This record gives sequence, structure tokens and C-alpha cells, in this order.
Amino acid sequence: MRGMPEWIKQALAWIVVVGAIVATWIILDLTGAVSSDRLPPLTDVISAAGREAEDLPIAVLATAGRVAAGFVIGAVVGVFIALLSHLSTVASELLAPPIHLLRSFPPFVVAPFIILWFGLSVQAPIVFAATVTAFVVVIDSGEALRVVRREYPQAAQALGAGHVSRAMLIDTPAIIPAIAGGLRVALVGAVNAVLLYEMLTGTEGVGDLLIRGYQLFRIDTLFFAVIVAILLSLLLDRILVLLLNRATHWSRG
Amino acid sequence: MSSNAFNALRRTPRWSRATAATVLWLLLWWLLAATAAVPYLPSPLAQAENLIGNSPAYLLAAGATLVRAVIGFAIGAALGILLPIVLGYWSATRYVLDALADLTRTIPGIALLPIFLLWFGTGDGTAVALVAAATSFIVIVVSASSIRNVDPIYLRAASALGGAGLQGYLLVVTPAMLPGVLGGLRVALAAALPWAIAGEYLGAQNGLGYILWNSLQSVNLRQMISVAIVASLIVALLDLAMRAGGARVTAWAQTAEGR
Repeated sequence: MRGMPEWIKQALAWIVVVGAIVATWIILDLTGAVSSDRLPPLTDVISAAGREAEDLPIAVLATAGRVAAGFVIGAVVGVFIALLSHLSTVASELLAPPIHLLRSFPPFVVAPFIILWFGLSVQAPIVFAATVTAFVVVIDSGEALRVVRREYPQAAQALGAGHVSRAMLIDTPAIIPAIAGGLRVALVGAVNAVLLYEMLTGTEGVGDLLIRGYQLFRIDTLFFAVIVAILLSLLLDRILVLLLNRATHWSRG
Repeated sequence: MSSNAFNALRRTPRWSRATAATVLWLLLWWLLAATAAVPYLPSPLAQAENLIGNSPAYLLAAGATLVRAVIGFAIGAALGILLPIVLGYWSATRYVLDALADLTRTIPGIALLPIFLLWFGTGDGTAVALVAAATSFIVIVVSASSIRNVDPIYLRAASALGGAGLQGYLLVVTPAMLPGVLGGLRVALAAALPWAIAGEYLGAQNGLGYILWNSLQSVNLRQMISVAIVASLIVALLDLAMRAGGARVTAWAQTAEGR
């Protein structure tokens, strides 16, 4: 292993992890340790993939679109609320009680409220994902803003920057490296929110594929849908990491 | 607002500003309810009546959810700590640990709900398994990062003092990763209750999630808000307990840092 480039070691580690999962699956199946109505043979899952291939792109795109829209809206709203609370004394005092409440508010509890108020509308899962994202981003951004170096905003204000330009040009870029981890957590939260909404309401998407597999006792479809959900979440995370790396390259200088 | 008004605001005690802000939010709530701007929203007073009047039922449901959350958390925490300790021992498997942490960080735990429903049915098992899986994902990520951050100088010192091999590794790494892991356990414990509630939406016959889902079917927003308040209070109490317990266990680390 010594002398091997870091990226090869990481790629090998990924192969080992995925290989271990697949090997365990095959062993459990072949030895009959777990019955096939609880753990389908891998070949059945591959057949399910072929069966669902026609509808899958639409389901994946629907879920990914909802997650992306909800995440972007939630992140922007979250940063905006944190900035407002940071820059204005009155807003800070006014927003303190709901922000304090958010720290212990369980995000999944929001689901029934969204279904009650937004029903099966297009915006319902997006609002849910945005709410879950904003919960995380408001708290993380608030904490990041507290440790932004004071010289930057002071220098900007000395050069004539107003509140809006300071927020847009100094505070927001300054907190992105600090909230990058929180944004990744929020993205998985948004995926969970959209999947839960689709499962509870039967709205077309990966969540619906999951719950259909359960309701129709199609365990092969169910396991295939779980793999799709994990791959979708991984893909969205990689895209976010790529974008964050671009946005924060200056901070690693 | 003039600067005089700002200064006057700053001079008022913090508790009175917080009270005034809370009263303003309650007034806004009352206004939204009175004008029916938000469908089905009860007034704050009607809400308080529902919460207090039905508190025995809510507490009973909270107890059922809490038991599921705590059992699931215990399983998830044990798995989330032990697996990284084992994988962190060899330098080659440390890369596997990092890959595993990267994978678990991105797994949407809710996707596992239908599998657990199929395996465990609509009893306690589904919610417990969902909490165990989701909390183990959180703890694995934090434990992996805590092991990575242990200064190798401690391991070298232990080796020089005769504590080489597995014994030295366990004696050094386990306490050194504790402050980081406790932070992760706090996050995982706070997440345990919401995950238990999510598991109860489709997979339970009682509990806060079950009440919440049934309240939605009967359009009972008062009951939904009461459940949300009870759930938030429990999460806040669990966090307080974890902070207090964590501070005691890691007092040595703070003392060492202060030196």
C-alpha cells in the first residue's frame, strides 16, 4: 500500500466496502441463512431493474428535481434568515425564539403539516425539503457568522459597502466553507424528506417505487428501489461537493 | 428606528427582550388563527387547552416512542462505535473505514423503512430498526473522524511505554476519541426521536408518530401541534441530559486542554 497514490487507495477502499456488502448478500442467499422473501437473490433484483427500467428515469428525475429545488430554496432562505438575524439587532431579537425552537424541532414531524396544508400539490415535497434544509442551514450559518473575522466586514464598510453589499460580498462567501458540512447533512435531509413525502402520499418518484415494492410484496423491486435511492443520494452529494469545492477554492489558498 | 431607540433596546434586560419577542410571535399566531389565514389553525389558548387536557395520552404515546428511540439509539451507538474501532486498527482498513463513513453519510435512512416494515411488521421492531440504522450512520461518521484525528504521538508514547499492539491501541484510541464521539452521540440521540416518529407513521399501533398520522387523517391540527410540542420538549430534554452527562465524562479532556 505504501507509495500508492491516495486516490487509488480510496478507490480500492470503496471497492472493498461495496464488495463486502455484495459478498455478504450472496453468502446469506446461498446458505439460506435468510429466506428469499426477506432478502431477494441478487439476480431477482437485477431482473427488477430490467422491469422498472422504463419508468425509472421519470421517477428518478421527479425525486431529484424536488430535492434540488427544495434544497436550493431552503439553503437560500436559511442563509438569508441567519444574515438578517446577524446584521439587524431588531431581527436578531425577534428571530431568537423561533431559531431557539428549531434547535430541538424534529424535522420529520413537519411531514403531516405539509400534507395538511399543501396536499398533493407540486410544491408540497419541495416545501418539505426546503423546510428541512432551512432548519439545518439557519443554525449552521448563525454559528458560522459569529466567527467570521471582523476585519473583512469592517474593511468593506470603511470602503462604503452598505448592509446588502456586505451581506452578499463578505458575509455569505465567508461562511460557505464553515457551513459546507452542514449543507451536505441538509442535502441528505432533503432527500429523506422527499422520499418520505412520496412514500406517505404515493406521489410518483423513488419514494413511491419503495412503498409500492412493500405494498405489493415485490421484495426485489423494493431492494432495487433502495439501491436507486442510495445511488441518487450519493450522486447529489458528489455534485454538491464539486460545487462547494469550486465555491470555496479561495479558502484553501 | 433611530439610534436612541436602538440604544434603549440594547439597555433592556435580555430576558425582557426574549419575553417581548415571544409575546409578539404569540400575537401573530393569534392573529393568523382569528383571521383563518392558516387553515385549521387553533388560537394559542385553544392549543394550550388541548395540550394540557390531553397530556396523559400524549405522555403515554411519548413514552412508547421514547422507548423505541432509546433502544434503537443504544443499538446504533454500539454499532457506530465498535465498527470504526475495529476498522481503525490497521492502516489499510482505515481507508475502508473512511469509505464506509462516506457511504453512511449519504444513505437516506428513510429508504430502509419499507424493508424494516416487511421484516418486522407494524410492531416496535420497525421503528427500533430504523432508529438503530439512522443513528449508527451518524455515529460511524463521527467515530471515523475522531479516530482519524487521534494524534499518532499518543500511540507512539504508549508503544514506548510497553503498550504496543491492540492493547496500546485500545488504551489510547478509546479515550482519545471519546470527546468527539460524545458530540456525535448527542446529535444521534437528538435524531433518535424524529426517526422513531418517522418509523411510527406507517409501522406502529401507538406512539407520537401514530397519533400524528391519525390526526392528519382526521384533520385535527390541535392534536398535531400538541404532538410536535411534546416531541420538541423531549428532544430538548434528551439534549440537556446528554450535555450534562458528556461534560462529566470528558472533564479530563477539558482540563488537559486548559493546561
